[in-house]
Amino acid sequence: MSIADLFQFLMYVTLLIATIKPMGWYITRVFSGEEFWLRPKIAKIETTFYKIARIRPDVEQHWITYIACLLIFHAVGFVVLYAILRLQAYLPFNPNHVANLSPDLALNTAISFLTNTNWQNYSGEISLSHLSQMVGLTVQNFFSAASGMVVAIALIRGFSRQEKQTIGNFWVDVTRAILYVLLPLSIILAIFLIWQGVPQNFSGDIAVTTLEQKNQMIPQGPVAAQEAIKIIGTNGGGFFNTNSSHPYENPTPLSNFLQMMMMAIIGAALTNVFGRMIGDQRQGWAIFTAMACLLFIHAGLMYYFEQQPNPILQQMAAENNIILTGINMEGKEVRFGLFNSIFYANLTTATATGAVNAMHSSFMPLSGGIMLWNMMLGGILIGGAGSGLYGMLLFVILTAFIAGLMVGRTPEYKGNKLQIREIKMTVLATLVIPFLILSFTALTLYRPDITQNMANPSAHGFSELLYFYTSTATGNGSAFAGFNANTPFFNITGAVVMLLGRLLVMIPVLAIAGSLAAKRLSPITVGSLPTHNFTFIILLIGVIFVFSLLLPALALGPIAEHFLLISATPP
Amino acid sequence: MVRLLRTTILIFGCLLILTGVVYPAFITLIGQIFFQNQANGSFVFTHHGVSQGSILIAQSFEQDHYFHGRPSLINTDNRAISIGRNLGQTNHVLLRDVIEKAKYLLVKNQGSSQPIPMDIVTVSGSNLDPHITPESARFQVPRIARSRQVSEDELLKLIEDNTIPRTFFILGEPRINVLQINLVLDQLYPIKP
Repeated sequence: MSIADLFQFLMYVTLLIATIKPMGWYITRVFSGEEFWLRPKIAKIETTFYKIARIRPDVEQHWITYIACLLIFHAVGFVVLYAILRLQAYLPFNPNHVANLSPDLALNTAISFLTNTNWQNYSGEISLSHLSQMVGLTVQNFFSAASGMVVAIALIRGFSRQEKQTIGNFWVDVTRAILYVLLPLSIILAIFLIWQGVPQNFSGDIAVTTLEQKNQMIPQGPVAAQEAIKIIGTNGGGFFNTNSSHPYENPTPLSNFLQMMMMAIIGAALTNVFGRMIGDQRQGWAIFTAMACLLFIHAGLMYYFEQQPNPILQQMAAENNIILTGINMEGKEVRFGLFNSIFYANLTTATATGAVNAMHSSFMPLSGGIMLWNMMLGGILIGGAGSGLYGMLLFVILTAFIAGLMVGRTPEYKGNKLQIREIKMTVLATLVIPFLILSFTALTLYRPDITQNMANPSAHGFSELLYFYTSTATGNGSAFAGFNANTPFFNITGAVVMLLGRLLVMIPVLAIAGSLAAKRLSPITVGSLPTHNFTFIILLIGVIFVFSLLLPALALGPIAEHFLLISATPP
Repeated sequence: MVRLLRTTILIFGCLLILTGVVYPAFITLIGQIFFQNQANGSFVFTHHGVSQGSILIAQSFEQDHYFHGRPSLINTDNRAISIGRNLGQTNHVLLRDVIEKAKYLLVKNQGSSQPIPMDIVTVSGSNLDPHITPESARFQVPRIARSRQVSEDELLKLIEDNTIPRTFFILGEPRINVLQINLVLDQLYPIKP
């Protein structure tokens, strides 16, 4: 490992951990409604919004009402976004005169941004107007991140409350998530990004004559504003086709570092929010430790895999008397090099962001395997804004349940008794992701012409398909992007998988929140299972492995490709 | 139900205007006031104010007297849209292409000594990568020295002066901006017409 890479890694880890406590303190204040220095400044806007919409912020909701509000919020969001995408040709801010999206592509894109997946079957600079990017996609970037956060907050309330029928007010939570957390962070990041070179203007293509007297048309747009929330909300839908590898989205190593930091900042802080709200910060740190352990082990593995030379290429080069030097740079940008490419890829798959700064399909096969694995875990290593924490808490519930059974006591977590109802909901929510991935991948393989959608032959082609359904089911949105999923079949199945993968986790989570909130907390005694120590963390990691590691599917894709790579002969 | 829908539409409208209109407008305002060059695409201009391209977006260089950037799928005279090639490591199309590019470079750069750096035989993620590694720049020195009639040592010095270091000595990789160094080349060693 080179010294510079080691320092980049240490700098990242140190700064991320340093943000957890202050950010955790801040987010806790925001959602508990307590007073703090920023509140009076923003509260004016907040109360105006409540007045306009006639929301009574002090009235809390039952979990079923909470779900109803969440669904109707998404439904309105869908209608608005779908309409914008279908009508963009007639709307203003369309300097390059792009056409309307087709119905199936608009459906896929709208669901994709609604569910925080941000899978993109279109190319931003070819297919979308500035208005669609701004009023359509940027808005949903905020809303989908906020909806993830409020579900996490509602679940935390479930853990911390007793004998209450309510879990909070959906409208208040969403408004606060946007006004106090997502918007201020986005403003700060957007300004930093412009400073680093990300454009923010409304012009169409700019024509230049290059040094060799050729013509070049360079697309422009309001990139920085969208780029900021794309990262902070763990959305990942790029303004341009190639996302954060585009020099206009991610111009410098510093902008790359900030993006990596901001991708994880809310997810990491929410573990601390959890600890604070249930009155024991050690619980939050235990969860963060489990997340971070897996995340950094994966980073290490990818760093190792990616440094290995391609044996077939070496053989071919030797036959032609060519000597090549350096790591595999296909699909990577020079300014990021090895470390920043693998670390970004690891983070983006682990946090359910899905932004990419290098083409995932061109990494070494086993690196691709790690990315798939990160997603199969359900985006819980740090995880998406909100979705990471509630996904992880499902595994915490399972672990506490299994541990309780092993020692022969009523399973409980911090005084919350875990009974049939909670466990049923937890199992439903944790099994829905592997079920969606495996069933849709398997069924799609029956299509006789499926290889025509793949950009690569053999095992890698299978990986592309597996990656597609894994990425959509877990709300990630990154891709083995050679795969052509812009067909009516994949647009529609993709939309179905994204919607089910999001809602069939969120709804059970809110049901658990409601049922835990209604229960009386039992006192913690010496006989209670400690859930913050090393033993529990190891057990938690074990449970995550057993439930999420879809090894047979990985064996057919990246692992098979790895053996092809080390055993094959040159063409 | 009707009340719930009305509430949703109203709060949705408020938040949409805030995040979809006010927020981007505010960011644009800040960008246009404080970081005018960056916010408008980081273009470089001649003394007469003619734009010569964006420092962040690769342009194609094919003439012998310029440093060449990384290979790209985007043809010259096309719109600079970003596309990834997305070929896997076991794909013969990728492997053959790398070897072809390497052979071509050896023909083009007679007098250069191997090894060939990987970055100039592979395409980047965006296909718009404006940088090459310093090794790739040094690999091209004999060709440029011949065609500009300057000594190789001067060019090596130029490469050293134009290497962008790691940010804070830690972040990223050392690199050369191809457009930047070619602008300097034209200035210091102009081609006699």
